[in-house]
This record gives sequence, C-alpha cells and structure tokens, in this order.
Amino acid sequence: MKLNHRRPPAISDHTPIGLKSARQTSPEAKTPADFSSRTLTTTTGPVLVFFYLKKIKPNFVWFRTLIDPSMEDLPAELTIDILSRLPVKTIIHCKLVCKKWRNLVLDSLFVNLHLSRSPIGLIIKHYPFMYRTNYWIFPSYPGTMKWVQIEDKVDCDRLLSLNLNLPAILQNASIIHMGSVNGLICLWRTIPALNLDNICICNPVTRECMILPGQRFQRDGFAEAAYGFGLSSVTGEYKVVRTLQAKVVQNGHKPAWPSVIEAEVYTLGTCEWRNLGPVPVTYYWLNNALHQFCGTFLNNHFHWIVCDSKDTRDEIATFDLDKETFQMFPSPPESVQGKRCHGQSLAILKGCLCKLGTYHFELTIWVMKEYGIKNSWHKEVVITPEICVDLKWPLFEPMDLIVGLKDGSILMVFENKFCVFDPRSQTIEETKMFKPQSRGLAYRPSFLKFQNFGSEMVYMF
Amino acid sequence: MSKKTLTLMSKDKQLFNIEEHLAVQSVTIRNMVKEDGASSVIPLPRVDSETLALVIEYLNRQQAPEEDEDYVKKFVDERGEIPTLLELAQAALDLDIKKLMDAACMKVADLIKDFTLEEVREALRIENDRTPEEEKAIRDEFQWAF
Repeated sequence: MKLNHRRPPAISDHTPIGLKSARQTSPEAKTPADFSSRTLTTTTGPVLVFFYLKKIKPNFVWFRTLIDPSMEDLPAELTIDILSRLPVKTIIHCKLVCKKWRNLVLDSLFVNLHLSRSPIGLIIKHYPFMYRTNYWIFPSYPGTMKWVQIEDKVDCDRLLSLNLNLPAILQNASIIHMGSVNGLICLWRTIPALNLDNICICNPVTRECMILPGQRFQRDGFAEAAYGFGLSSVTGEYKVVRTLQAKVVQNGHKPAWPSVIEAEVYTLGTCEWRNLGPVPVTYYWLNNALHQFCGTFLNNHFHWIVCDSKDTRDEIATFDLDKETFQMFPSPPESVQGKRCHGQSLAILKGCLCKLGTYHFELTIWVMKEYGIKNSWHKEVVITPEICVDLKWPLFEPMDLIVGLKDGSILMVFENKFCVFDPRSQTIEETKMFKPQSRGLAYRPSFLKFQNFGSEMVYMF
Repeated sequence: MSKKTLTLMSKDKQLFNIEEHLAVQSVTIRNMVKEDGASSVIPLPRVDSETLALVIEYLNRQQAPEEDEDYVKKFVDERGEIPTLLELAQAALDLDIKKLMDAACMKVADLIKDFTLEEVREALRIENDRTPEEEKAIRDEFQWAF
C-alpha cells in the first residue's frame, strides 16, 4: 500500500511560485496529523499510527483517507457539485460507484444544481407517417424519440444522439410532443381506435412517466386541442393547459369557424383537470400545423400563434399560468408584405420570444427584445436563397427554431436537417441527420423525480 | 502606507500572511473581518499548509478582470492531480471562494468524466460497497445509458 504519497511532510520549506505573503512556522506545529504523516515513513511508524488510529476509529477507509483525502472525506456538497458537472450518462454510471453516490444523485440539492448546469439539447421526434385530414394531421405510430446532446457550440460532426425508447404504454398510440420544462416532456397520446386521448408527462432520464386522466371535454368530430406545459415561477407548480375549440352545430348549420373554445387546466399532483369555462376570445388555432398547438412557454405565459376570425392575419394569444387567463399579445408587423406565410412558429431565443416565418423565398426571425412591448419586435434574421442555396427553395414547410447557442449562432430543425445559422458570417450550415417528418424541441435533461407530484400514478419504463 | 494584513493558520499550525483586501475575496474571511475586525489569527482547521499556500497564491493573483477567468482555469489546470484539486476545492468551499471552487470541481469533473467505474473509484479512493446484484439492477433500470 502506498502511504503518504503526494503528501510532503507538513513542515516544508517549499514555497510555491507567486506566493508573496510571509510564511512563518508556528512553534506548536507538531500536531497529531503532522505526527502521523511523518512517522509513517519510518519502520515503526505504521505500528504507532495503528494504535493512534485505533483509539479513534479502526476503520480502513477512514485510515486511508487520513493519508490521502478522497471523496469519502469530502463534504456531500462538494461531491454533489462535481457530479452535477458531469454528462447525464456519466452521472448514471456514477450511481454504480458506491451507495453514497447513488443516494446523492437522488438528493434534491443535486437535482436542482444539475438542472441549473444542464446544457440545452434537443429532442427529435420522428413521425414515421402522417396522415392528413381536412382538419387534422395525425402521426400514425408513436415514432421514435431521439435526444441530441449539444455542447456550447454545435459541431455537426460530433453530435451525440441516443435513442430514448418510449414507454410501452405509449407504443400503439399516436404521440405528439407538446413541450418540455426542466427535463420533463409533455406528450399528447391519442389512440383513436380506443377513443383514448391523454396527456403524458415523462422524464426520459429517470424513466418515469405518468398519464393524466382524460379531460372533461373530449374531442368529438371537428374539434382541435392546443396545449401548453409550463412551470409557475410563483408557486412552483407544473401545469398543463388545454384549449379545445369546436364547431357546434346550431340550427342544423355548422359554422365555418370554431364557435366555442373551452379551456381546462391540470396542476401536476392534483389528479384532476379544472374547467376554466369558455374562453372569451374570438380567435382560433390554425388547424394545419402540429407545432402551433404546442404553446411556447416564457415569463409564466404560454404563447400560441392564432388567427382572427376572418383568417386575415395571425395574432399571438397568451395564457397566464398563475392568473389562468387568456389575452391577446402584440405580434410583429407583417414579415414580407403581401406574401403568404407558409409556416410559422414561436420559440425562445436568448430569453426573448421570437417568431419564425417561412415564405416562398425568405425565412425570417423576429425577436421581441422587451417582453410585451410591441415596438421592440425586431427583424433579426433574414435568410434568402442567396445566403443558403441548398435549402429546399421555395420553402413550404415550417421550420422549428430551437435554441440560440453561446457563440451567437441559431439552431433550427427543418424537415430532415439540422441547420445552424451564424449571424456574423451570414452563413448556414446544414447536416442531414434525421429522417423526414422530424420535429425538434429544446430539451434540458434533468434528474427530476415525480415523487414531488403526490398521489399521481407513476409508471417506470 | 502599509496595507493591513491578516494572518491565516492552517490545520498544521503554519501561519500565512495576506493583505486584507485580497483575503476578503473569501466570503468566510470577509464575514469574520466584518464581525470582529479579525485582529487575531484566523484558524482554518480543515486546510493543510500546502493547500493554503495554493489558495493564497490564488488570492494574490493580479489579473485584469477580463483575463481572470483564463487565469483561474490555468491555475487549476497546472494542479491537475485529483487529490490536490479535491483539497483545493474543499478549502475553497470552507473559505467560500466560489470561482476557485467552481474551477476546481469543473477540473475534477473533466478528469473523471471519461473514466471507467473502476478508475473513478481508484482516483477518488472509494470502496465499492455495491453487490453485483445491485449493480445489475441499476444497469437494467438504466439500460439506455449503458
């Protein structure tokens, strides 16, 4: 056994470079700790130390850590700090190191610290086949979900992706992801044949999943649901909101636009949907793009792109997570005058709400510099065929804006491609890495456990 | 005009002098100075002299603020041995010097992140107290990660 290595005698004349302050050796320097490290180098040392230690605690690990401090010796706070900086996979491997580490990974201190440091990544959901009705687009199978880890800067050749197998209870369903907060993913599960329509919340890292009960208002005929999943910074509650817009037949006549919108809210842990009643607004959710049904969460509000009742222009509607009220929200001026927008989406870029629109020969990103201030909408990015010849012009499909990276570039998912736009050089780098019909969602992995959600039924997968 | 100096005492009773305005980068010391003026020697019963020398070297650095981050990184890089880094991190934790603790923990994490389980245990001198059954249970639970 190597004793005393890396540990020079406590009294040393060695002065590290750059040490400017005076050093003095105090007269009472010979302490028990000092005694042990010195005597260990002599032949009688181990015997003496043995008796010395035996008096205190004849424990091998303790003995060893006296000589060379290790994690055993370190405060849990420090171990947690180090663990929280490791990649998710490595943290899971570290659960195997020892029992203490396994328990630390379950500690809420660790969970929160890790979350604050967890780098943003992507969840890529691939829909194997979509069928389109006049009113709705359905993925026909659950599809696959992949998690792509991103370092501070995107290096398209070094992207790490791994399959996150969906829970078995979601296998025969059509699954659409509706948002992600703190590593929890909100999935909308429908099995039309069985008339099942539920929201599932899962954490792919801890492999926990829960299925929320069905809502009071069920989809029946021509009705569309829009969702939002977020965390209240005021109450710390996770909430799911659903609006359901329907065309109610009146006098044997079905209106052209949805005539009623009902809203319901679910607070995780309460086991029930609360009815908020009819929504007092005159807009409706566009019915031809899946992602517009998934609210973008910022500043304790969900944001959706909606249409006014005459389908003349797009607006933004919000839902206040704490007050539980709907409101209209200032939207940017028309991006390209007089041209039809093919697809739009909302996202968050550097903490600001932004709106992305695709037109025939233009892709624009508007950023709302100051939240809630209409005049602060700023056209930050314009991508035209001159900047990127290879993009499949004209653009018809919407693009998912994912995340702004530390180096200032913007990450997007477009059809089967991963696009990184660098605003300084005005260039776009593409990597084909997904199958067509893939959609991306910003995702920050976490070790958050569902035990905080009281009596909810939790499945492991 | 001579600047006010403080005296810190390590676990092994060695004394170190440091100018007060540099020492108060440590929140622990700052609070002590605020409370009683810290005229006497400040004992640091968990920090050995070797580590305290490093901490003092760190506190004495004279970097322009914009270069500070690089300096801290280089400072811990040069002491790339895990036991030294752990000592340093623990001292930084006790003294509440956030930057130094962050850098030291980050470096340890960087070093162990590609280690195998055995290597992690060896580097950090941890006894394996897990039975093969327990290990298998975790491997089964987190199949996707292995």
